[in-house]
Amino acid sequence: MKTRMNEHGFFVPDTISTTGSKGSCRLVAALLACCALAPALLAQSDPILATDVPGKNFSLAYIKYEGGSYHHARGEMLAHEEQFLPNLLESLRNKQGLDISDRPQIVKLGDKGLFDSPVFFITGHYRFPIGDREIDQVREFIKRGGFVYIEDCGGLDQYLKTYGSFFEQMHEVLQKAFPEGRFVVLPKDHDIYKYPYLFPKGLPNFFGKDNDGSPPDTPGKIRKHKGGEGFYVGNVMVAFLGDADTCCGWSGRSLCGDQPFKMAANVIIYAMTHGGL
Amino acid sequence: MRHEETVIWFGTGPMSALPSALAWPLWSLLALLGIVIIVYSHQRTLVALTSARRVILTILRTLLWLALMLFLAAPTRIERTHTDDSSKRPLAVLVDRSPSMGVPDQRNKTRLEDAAARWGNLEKEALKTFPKIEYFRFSTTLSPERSLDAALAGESGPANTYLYQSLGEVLAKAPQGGWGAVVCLTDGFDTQSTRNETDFVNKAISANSPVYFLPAGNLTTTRRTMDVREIEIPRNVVQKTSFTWRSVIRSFSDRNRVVTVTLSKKGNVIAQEKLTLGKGDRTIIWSTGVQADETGRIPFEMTLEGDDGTKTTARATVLVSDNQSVRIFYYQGAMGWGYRFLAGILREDPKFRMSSAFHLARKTDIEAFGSSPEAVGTNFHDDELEKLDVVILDGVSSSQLNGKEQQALEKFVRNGGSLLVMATDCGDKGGFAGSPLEKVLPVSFYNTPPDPSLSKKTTQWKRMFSSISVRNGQDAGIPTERMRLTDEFPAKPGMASPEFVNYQLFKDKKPGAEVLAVHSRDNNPDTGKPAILMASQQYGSGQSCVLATDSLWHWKLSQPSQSGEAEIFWQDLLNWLVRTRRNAPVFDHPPIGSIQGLPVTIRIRAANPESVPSLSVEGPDQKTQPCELKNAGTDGIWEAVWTPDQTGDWILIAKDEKGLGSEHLLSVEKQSSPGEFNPMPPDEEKMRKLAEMTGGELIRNRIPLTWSRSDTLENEASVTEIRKPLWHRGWLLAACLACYGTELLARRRWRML
Repeated sequence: MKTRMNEHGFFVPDTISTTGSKGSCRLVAALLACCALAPALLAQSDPILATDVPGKNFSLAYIKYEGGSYHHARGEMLAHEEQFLPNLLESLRNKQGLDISDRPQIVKLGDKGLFDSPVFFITGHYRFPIGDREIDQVREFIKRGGFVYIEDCGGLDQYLKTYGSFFEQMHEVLQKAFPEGRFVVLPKDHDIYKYPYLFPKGLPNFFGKDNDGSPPDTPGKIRKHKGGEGFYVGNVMVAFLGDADTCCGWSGRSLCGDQPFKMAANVIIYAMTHGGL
Repeated sequence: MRHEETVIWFGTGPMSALPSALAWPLWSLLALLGIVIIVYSHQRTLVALTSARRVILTILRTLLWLALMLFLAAPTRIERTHTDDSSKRPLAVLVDRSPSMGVPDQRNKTRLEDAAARWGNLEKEALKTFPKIEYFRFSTTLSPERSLDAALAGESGPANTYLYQSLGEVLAKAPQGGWGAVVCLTDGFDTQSTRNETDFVNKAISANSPVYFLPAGNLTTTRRTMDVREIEIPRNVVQKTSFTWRSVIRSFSDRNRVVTVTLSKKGNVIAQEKLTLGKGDRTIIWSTGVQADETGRIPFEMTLEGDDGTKTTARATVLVSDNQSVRIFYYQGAMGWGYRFLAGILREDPKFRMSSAFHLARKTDIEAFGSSPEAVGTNFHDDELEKLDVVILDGVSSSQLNGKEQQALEKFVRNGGSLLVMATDCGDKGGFAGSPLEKVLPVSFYNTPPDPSLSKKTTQWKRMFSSISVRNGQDAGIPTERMRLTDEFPAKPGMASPEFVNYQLFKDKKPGAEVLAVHSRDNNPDTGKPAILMASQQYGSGQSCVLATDSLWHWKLSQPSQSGEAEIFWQDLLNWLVRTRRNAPVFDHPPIGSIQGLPVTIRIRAANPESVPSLSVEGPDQKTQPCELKNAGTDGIWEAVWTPDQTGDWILIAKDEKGLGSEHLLSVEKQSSPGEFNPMPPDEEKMRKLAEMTGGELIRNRIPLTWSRSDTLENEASVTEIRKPLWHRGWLLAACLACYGTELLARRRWRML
């Protein structure tokens, strides 16, 4: 597959750089669906011997939205969709043995499809338009037992000053969804840093390392790394908010090796092994 | 002494084994054939003979042949010596002619007719053993009769039965050496004092006369009756759960009738049903679901009321408690989301305390995340399992549990624990097929899927379809189906059926297991029945349950958070699984009624073989007294014999060392009058015991074995038989040799040799 570097310095597949190619993908998907449907109809009366299809299997929902980073850093966001998240899912399948779909389920916060996955992931740089309906949907998702995984992707100072921070917006969304909830900076000995991989110093800061190898908290970045945060409703941690740019480490060419994949595995497995609301 | 002599043919020799009908024709044919050959051969001699010589030789050879044939016929004289029949003891037969024997049942047959018919078939056989039979009839008085027909003829006696007194009188009339046997045709009722029972037994022993009872085989009662034979309910249940009231009703009537069954709780009717019972003897099971809403000792009363005025009542109590936590251990064999959603559901009810352990797939390390102080590791062993009520195995395959762990789990269930297995959705695994744990579970597993090619094909298209559908977030939706709950499922009204995505195909349910939910469309290709999605079975004192899917978290996620469907389902299911509390001794088939002054045997099954339960009884006057329990010799079974001294409702309380226990209500009534028309069927057990005390037994449809044996022995002793062969004589042999010698000499002289 051909790749090219986008305006933000991320390597993205060449075929997803235009809307035309995206349309082609959908056409191919539709054709595949037709092909798949024929045997499905034929096999409808057969007993289903379950294997790793949805059910036992699960998928990771990826939240796509209008505006915000999808406007100012579209290529990077599409890279998350098409490359980074599949890399993570492959890692979770192959290294952690999780029975997870190989493609993320791309949904919007207002979609019904949000409730097909037990966990959704959202990332970005800048604020995006979000209404009360979407906030209610987040609340409902969490109340049904779902888990929210939020990663800050940083952003350029000039845009952050102009448009505001995505990460701060997510704090506001969660607080609005659950006014009684509270944010807690997770201690270094929290379970999420222990299983299955040990992170003795808490959440590592991967920020910037994916791009140019610069050390964390490079001058020019708008905020400092303070570690992973949990959003608690009662005693239940319903969301994890990471400010370490872990998701960009899933590009496969991260200078941090497989650490971003391991941290993500810890988050997912924490969600699986602790009760929801 | 009598001598008898007879002569028989073929008494010895090779043809003695043949029946005479065959021996004689065979012998005649052989003799004739020999004579023909002799005549024929002497007509065609090699040397020319005169006619006279030919005749002489033929006669000599024929005589020799006939002598040989005489030896073959083996005439034998038999001398038999018979001992005198008068040395045998006679048989006495008593016929109960009390009115109870003459009341017809719904078939218009009386007990007397039944007994007479059965004895009539045996009388001829009895005469082979006994030289003669003397008949008597009795009701209140005893009188001798000429024959059975005479004893059966005529009207019944007065409305009383002096059974044991009459037997005593017959025994007093025993001839020298006693009766060979005394047979009594009776329904066993005696309207006199039971003191006569021992009197007649002593008399029978003294008279050397064994007594045999032939119970009038009319098993049906002579009046309309109806009673509750058994009540099966859990003695301890958890509040807010439901349990099944199951009762066994026996009814007898000479016509069809409608019976109204009413179940009341604390005086309030909670279930009522009209049952139509056919005429005759009927045993039916009536059951209904009962909600355990309030705590404490809850009294229940069941009333049966027939349209003919018959009425009976049975009572029972159930202990309902609310402060017992349900301790659950959740072991996830493959990482999934089931735990997260179930833990969230159970968090709403503080009664549930769940600890957990997880097995990271494709890795050997096991991480325990249990935050409860009672969390156990995954090394299942008795001590840790003892602290639990329910073990949930989610996506665990048998290979993840070693033999000892599976045995510990088996013991856990046998001793009262509950095991819920959420099957791996992986169709290519055998699950628990052939494992020690499989016998605990209510279903059998396939070693391999019945059609692997089908499985593969189905998997392929589903994977392809799902990978496409998940891209389209707008209208995506994972296709789910609803289970079809069966009547066996302890569902509350309005409870929704769970939704699922995948399921594992079970081979079949085991005998005795209950199917709680099935697939609404798919059938098992082998059985042709709907695929089983949930089943349970009682195993020992505990319960096992299997769920064919571990994808129910989809259901929770797809339901509005306010619906509470999934919450109700899971909480009810787990409450139902632990509805019979473990670690408490339970009563083993306790009686529901008894008679004042008569001993009652109470059996208690301890929670485990090491436990020593105690038993106390609380009388109608609220006073409690302890009862001594003795080990019945069976693992965990204890027994006590106790005699209630007052009528009313008694509460039997069984407890173990920890104070956990169960209760049972026993209704004690006054002894029913042993009147002539007692509607109860004959007490065959009592008759058998009394007969055995005298050396006799109960006669049913054949004569006692001892009679047959004595018959043979008597014959052997009375008949002496001596067989003397008549052909075994020296002169006869000499005559044969003379014939043969003469023939040889003649042949030599006439130059034939």
